[in-house]
Amino acid sequence: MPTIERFTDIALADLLNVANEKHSGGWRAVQVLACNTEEGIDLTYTFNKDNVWENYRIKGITKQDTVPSLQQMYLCLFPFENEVVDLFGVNIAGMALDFGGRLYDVAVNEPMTIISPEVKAARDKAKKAAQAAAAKAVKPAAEELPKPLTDEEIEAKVAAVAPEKQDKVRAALKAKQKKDQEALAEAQAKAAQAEKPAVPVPMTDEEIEAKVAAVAPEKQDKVRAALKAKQKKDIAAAQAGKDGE
Amino acid sequence: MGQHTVIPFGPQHPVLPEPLHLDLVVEDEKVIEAIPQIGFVHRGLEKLTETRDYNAFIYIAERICGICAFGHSLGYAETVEKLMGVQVPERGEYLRVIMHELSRVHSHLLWLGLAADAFGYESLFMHCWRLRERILDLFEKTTGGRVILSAVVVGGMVRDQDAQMLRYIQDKLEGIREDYAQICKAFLNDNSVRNRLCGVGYISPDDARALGMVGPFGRASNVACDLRQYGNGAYGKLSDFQQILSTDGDCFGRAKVRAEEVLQSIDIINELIATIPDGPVSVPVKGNVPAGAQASNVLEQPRGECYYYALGNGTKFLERMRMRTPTSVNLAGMATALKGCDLADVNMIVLTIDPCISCTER
Repeated sequence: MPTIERFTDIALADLLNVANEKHSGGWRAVQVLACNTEEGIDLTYTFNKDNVWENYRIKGITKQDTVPSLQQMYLCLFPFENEVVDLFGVNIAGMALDFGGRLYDVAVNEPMTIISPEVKAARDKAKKAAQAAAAKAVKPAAEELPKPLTDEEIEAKVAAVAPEKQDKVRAALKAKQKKDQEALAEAQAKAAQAEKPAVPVPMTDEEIEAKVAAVAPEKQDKVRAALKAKQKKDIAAAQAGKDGE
Repeated sequence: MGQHTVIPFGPQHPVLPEPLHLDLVVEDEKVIEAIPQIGFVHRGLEKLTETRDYNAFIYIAERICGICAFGHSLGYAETVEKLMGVQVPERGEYLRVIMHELSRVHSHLLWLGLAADAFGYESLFMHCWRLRERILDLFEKTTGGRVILSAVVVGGMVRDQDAQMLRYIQDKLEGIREDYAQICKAFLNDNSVRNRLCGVGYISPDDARALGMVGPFGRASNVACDLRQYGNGAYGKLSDFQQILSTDGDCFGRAKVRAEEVLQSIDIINELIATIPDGPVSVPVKGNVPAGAQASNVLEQPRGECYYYALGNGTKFLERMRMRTPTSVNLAGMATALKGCDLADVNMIVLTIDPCISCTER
């Protein structure tokens, strides 16, 4: 039987229904994994039956969200759910085997959520590459659009037509000129938007203090100063972006 | 009613190859409950994808564990190849499976030795590990390393093995097979071994399925969970693959499954060497991993099913790499097997899941 692998995005509210359906269908729970993104934590649950591997991803889980534990149905998930709590700080409720955040007893809280300079640089680079690719995709569209006729070209075409039809032809060509001008303007605006670098959202003071609290005490002052400097820079960039508009 | 006592088992214990702690709730020499605790060797290896590109990370992957070193490098490489749409040449796939099966033989011999040591059969332990040394010599001759082989790259194998080396491997394995037959007799027929293993730590097939047990631990309870049956890679070129199952469900069943898998692996290696095609063993892999691309991969390692997941971010670094190892999913089964057993049998039951804690914690 060939391997079938599927990835499906689901909502947090659907997790228990999906798990119940899989459990009653005789599916096996394989694992739970978490991934740190800028929107929050993405959780992926994997189920297997025969050679079919279903991966269900819940995107953007925040500190305010509570994820229901699946350990009542699948006790074998206890190491993974506890690991997600320890390393990513996800709030999972109702665990049968709950180590209270002490499965690994790490020195730094939620270490997988700390975005290192290397990851930040990689994400920024990927974002720029994606923007460049999007701009490239839009540009040919603007170039491929028909160039709107000029007024002189319209009059030249009208002059070549029989007198009793000139008014009608002139009106039609003017309407097409207007339509082509609007389409070109829209395509050019889209291209300009794609090329424009995204304005970074400045961190709030509470977010800064939360990040500082996760760092070792002897490094907190340095980290706070660095984050405050970045906040100031982002506020200035956001202001410049607004003024530009 | 007897008094409950909590006896700590581990993290340091003569029978444990790696640190694992159990709180054994005991009443009159019977274990009522076992609560596992891990976390003594967590190294945060998955976070290293931030600073090691997808080619360099393979050296981290194979250092997750010394016993499963080749398996992890293979599983990781296959996952990244899936992510990037790379097709490994056929000869490379054959060599990968040959080395992986050799790794299975070495891992099972290691376990058989530890099991013999656990029930006090020291000379059997030494014979198992003496035989295992010949497998490690084969590794050294073919790859230069005894434990960490560095034989796999993303795209194939680091080096080819010529016909002379493949014949050498076959000759050595025939000698190992003859000596191994005598060890196998001791494990499967000796009364003193059976007295220690039969009826100990029984898990029914239904419980094994409900607890998601994998590997020889699951197959000993008749759970057909050997991923090699699906024929991924060169496993699909085997003429006939039948996974080894047992209905015993106890420690003896687990030992029997592993003991028979050693012989099966030797047969697999011989068959693949006889049919290995000519050609290159690797293809160059360049470029960035597409942003948002994700892939998963499963591999039947000596301890069971290992699940890998990778997510790309448009650069040469992976956004996320995840390795879910078989021991982590077997911990629940182990805790269940310990309930109701004698305190003296805890050693054997813990050992029969073939715990690899460094894999579990990464």
